[in-house]
Amino acid sequence: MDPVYIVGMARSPIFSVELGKNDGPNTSSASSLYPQDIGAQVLRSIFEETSIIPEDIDFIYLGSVISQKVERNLYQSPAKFLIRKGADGKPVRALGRTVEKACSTGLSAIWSGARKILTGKADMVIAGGMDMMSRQKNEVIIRGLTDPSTQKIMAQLADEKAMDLGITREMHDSYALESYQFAAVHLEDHRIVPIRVSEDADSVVRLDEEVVKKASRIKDAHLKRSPAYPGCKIITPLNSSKYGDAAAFIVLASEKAVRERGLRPIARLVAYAEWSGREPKDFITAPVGAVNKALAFSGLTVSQIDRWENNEAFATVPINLINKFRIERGSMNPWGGAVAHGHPIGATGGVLTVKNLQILEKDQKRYGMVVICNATSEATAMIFERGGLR
Amino acid sequence: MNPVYVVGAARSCLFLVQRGKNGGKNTSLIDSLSPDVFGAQVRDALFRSVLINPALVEIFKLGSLISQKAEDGMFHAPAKTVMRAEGSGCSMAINASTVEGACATGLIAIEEAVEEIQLGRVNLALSGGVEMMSRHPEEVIQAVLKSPETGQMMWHLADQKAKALGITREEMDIYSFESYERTNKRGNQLYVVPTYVAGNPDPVLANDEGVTKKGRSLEAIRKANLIEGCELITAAHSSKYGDGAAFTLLASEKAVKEFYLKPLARILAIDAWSEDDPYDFIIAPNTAIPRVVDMAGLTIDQIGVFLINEAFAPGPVSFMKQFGISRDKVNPEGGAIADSHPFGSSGAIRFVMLLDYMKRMQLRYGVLGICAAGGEASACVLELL
Repeated sequence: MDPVYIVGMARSPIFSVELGKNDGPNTSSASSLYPQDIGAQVLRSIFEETSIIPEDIDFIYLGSVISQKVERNLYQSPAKFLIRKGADGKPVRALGRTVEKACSTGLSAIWSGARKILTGKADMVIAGGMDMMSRQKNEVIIRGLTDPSTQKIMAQLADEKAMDLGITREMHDSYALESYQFAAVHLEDHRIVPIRVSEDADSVVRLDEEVVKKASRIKDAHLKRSPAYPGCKIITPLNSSKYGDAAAFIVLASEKAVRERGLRPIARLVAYAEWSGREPKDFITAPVGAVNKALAFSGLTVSQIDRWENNEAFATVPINLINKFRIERGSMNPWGGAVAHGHPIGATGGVLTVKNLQILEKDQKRYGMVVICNATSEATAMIFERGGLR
Repeated sequence: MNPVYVVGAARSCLFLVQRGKNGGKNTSLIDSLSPDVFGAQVRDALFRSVLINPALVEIFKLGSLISQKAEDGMFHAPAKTVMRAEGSGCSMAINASTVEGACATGLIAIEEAVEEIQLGRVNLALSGGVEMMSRHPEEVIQAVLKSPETGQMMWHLADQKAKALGITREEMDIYSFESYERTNKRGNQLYVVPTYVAGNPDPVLANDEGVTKKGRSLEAIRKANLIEGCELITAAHSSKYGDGAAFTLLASEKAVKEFYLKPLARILAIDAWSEDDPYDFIIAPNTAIPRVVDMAGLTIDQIGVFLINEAFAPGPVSFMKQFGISRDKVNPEGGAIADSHPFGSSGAIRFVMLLDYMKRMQLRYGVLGICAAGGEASACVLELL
């Protein structure tokens, strides 16, 4: 595979989403913003912090699950609309594409962008995701989380699979507790684009502080007491991912663009793979297939992967990965995961990629893997190598 | 890059959609079907025409705009939902995803699948589009047609551009009249498959609904009222709302040999282009098309037929004028002005129609161009085998 480099990246905080009261929409401290207001602030930060200008960009691949479906002003060419907004009147010639692949949406968008470089149709691409789980009634989110064939929600499918795999409630709770603790310890390690949530000058959210503040209050006793989801024995709200609002994008570049424009690569995209099981509950184990396939594409072995990021939809997923590949707990979601941070569906692939690359940088490690499970028995995995031109 | 072959193609008839009354839902002959079931009927028909086990197909790229956004039943992983719908073409473990790029969506889905084969990552890929503009209130469709930046509707942009290009009302009237006429004369198609609704053992239609509709007289078209805010464009110059679904099965050389597939065509080039200004969307195919023809190593005069989506008449009219192409080579069997433009599936439907026409006329090279909101266009070149 020809090299594809990551030459820019930025993400918003993940805003903590509260369920709507009295039949009202879900809320967050950002829910008075439109999704594109968050997305455009993230894009602006890329244009401000790097030498990249909007006109350089050949494609923008926007991943979105909820927002592009429910927000009426994202009905016409949302990807193009977003980059034009982020460009603030500067020339834009990027082609806009929106991608949807349930929770793998963001990572799938990044791969689609990379594919444009690999086929020689682009030299620079912006890709990632943007989703808000606030602003909508919770029934809309639940619809997205309901498997059409079984009419079960994802938590119930995870619960069945956890039983099959023999992963106990205690294992889930102890994994989740570490996720909360890791998130609290590493709160300040993330580099995040501060997002202005209203006209008020003070109303800027700078870190994942909202989610981490909540997470830091959770103790072992809370986890043990937490009632399971309806129809579940193992899966509880406290050992599952939380709702979130966020946007995250990376800039991909060809080797030619890196050399000609003197860009500084953060990392190289090494491999990408998709995998699907057959039964709806197989989404829990599909990441194993995706990881094996990505490793096969890359020629790397499990032991060469230094840092792992998984979407932690339910604690079952990372626990199963840890068991199957004998991954050290400290290398899997080392700065906490979606159990603590939230899982803003279509933005997650972008958020985890930014996170993984920041962790590789901070820890001075070489290879990172982002692996995400998604509805309808699927998973995606992407491998990155930190550093510049080889 | 690896060559990519078309080894299967199927499309539904195009069903015309009527606007709902009093804020009610838009309607069509098939609005009782959910889009996944509608799409699955076309999927199953495709797999009846190609002798291959659907489980061997590695990826599915679905193009959909309205249906993937507005259908409650498509909210959870729409692409996989189409593939898992009951039927002989059902595939439980295919890797599925959805892509959207405004009116070019259907062709973009095909492009994404083509690229996966070109890069040698997969050998068999299914792609296409499923779109129903019925089943939803008109405000949903209007939201797609309205620029979130300026509040202008697509026909306003087309109108301004037609004026700037010096295209006259009369030119567009004649073009549109011929579109209705040519659609009426469209004969039997090779790759049209039946659609069934509950309670009727017979297919809903045998050919596109626009074919059976009485065309409009040139006199009536000349008298048609302008669309509000336009100086040239009338409803007769504009594409109609529709429901439609189309799929194509794509294969690498390896898969063609291994599974004894019969290649119908080869995709020589497929790409997209964006103008700087969204207002130029209607002429974007005029750049996208010569680019793909060049990528294919051909010249415009070698191309036997051009299908150019008739979102609005200035699109094909400006193309014919700029490149001096005769009317007989551009949308020879009519187009969306008469038979409709289901946004998210049009690219795939016209792709199948292009192949159909090339096969019947034995034309070696054919081109599809389709404009899209945001100032964009997608295009491809097919070689008949």
